[in-house]
Amino acid sequence: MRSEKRKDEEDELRGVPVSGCGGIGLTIMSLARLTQALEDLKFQYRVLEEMNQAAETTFEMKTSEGTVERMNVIVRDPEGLEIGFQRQKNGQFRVFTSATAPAIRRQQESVINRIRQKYTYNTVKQQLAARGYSVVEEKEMGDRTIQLVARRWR
Amino acid sequence: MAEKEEIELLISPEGDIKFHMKGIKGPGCAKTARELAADVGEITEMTPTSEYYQNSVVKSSVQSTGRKENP
Repeated sequence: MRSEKRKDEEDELRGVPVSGCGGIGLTIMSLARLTQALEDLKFQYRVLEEMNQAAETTFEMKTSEGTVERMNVIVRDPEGLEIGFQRQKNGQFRVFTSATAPAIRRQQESVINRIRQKYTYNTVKQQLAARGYSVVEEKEMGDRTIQLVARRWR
Repeated sequence: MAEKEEIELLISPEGDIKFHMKGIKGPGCAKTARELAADVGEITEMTPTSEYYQNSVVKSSVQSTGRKENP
């Protein structure tokens, strides 16, 4: 069975103009991009400094599941409740809510989605610009999906 | 002559991406998708569209015809 790389090389040799579609699932890995998204959304947040990790206790948060977890980033949502981002061993950030009431928890999940979408938006726009693409269309749809059309000439 | 490469991206309210690429040569979609995904997450699906196959078929057809005419 051909590897994906081998197939790419064959396509390149043929020089065939190709098209395709697909999906990318978001994984939050970058602290810098996460804090940029929080800045853009004007959320209050605090970041646990590397050098203070051993002694710091104010970054402990009681989660919706009732456990107490040490977070790397704590965001205060518009209702004044906390949302925590905890760095995992694989480098990904895991997100925790603190609300226990289902209705409030849904509100917190909505806030998390806004952060996730902003993180993706910023990252993708940087990636496109770095590869020479210009965004020629941008709009937000009724369901809050953001549509971007990027183009370059080669 | 310069050729147009275009990517349409839909960023869902949850931050996941659907993409559709048109006119990208060579490593094309797979390579560009990997680059886009590098800082965002993981590719969950990747499918060449009908345009991909149409272009490939045209190329193959020309090559086949050529072999028949010049055995």
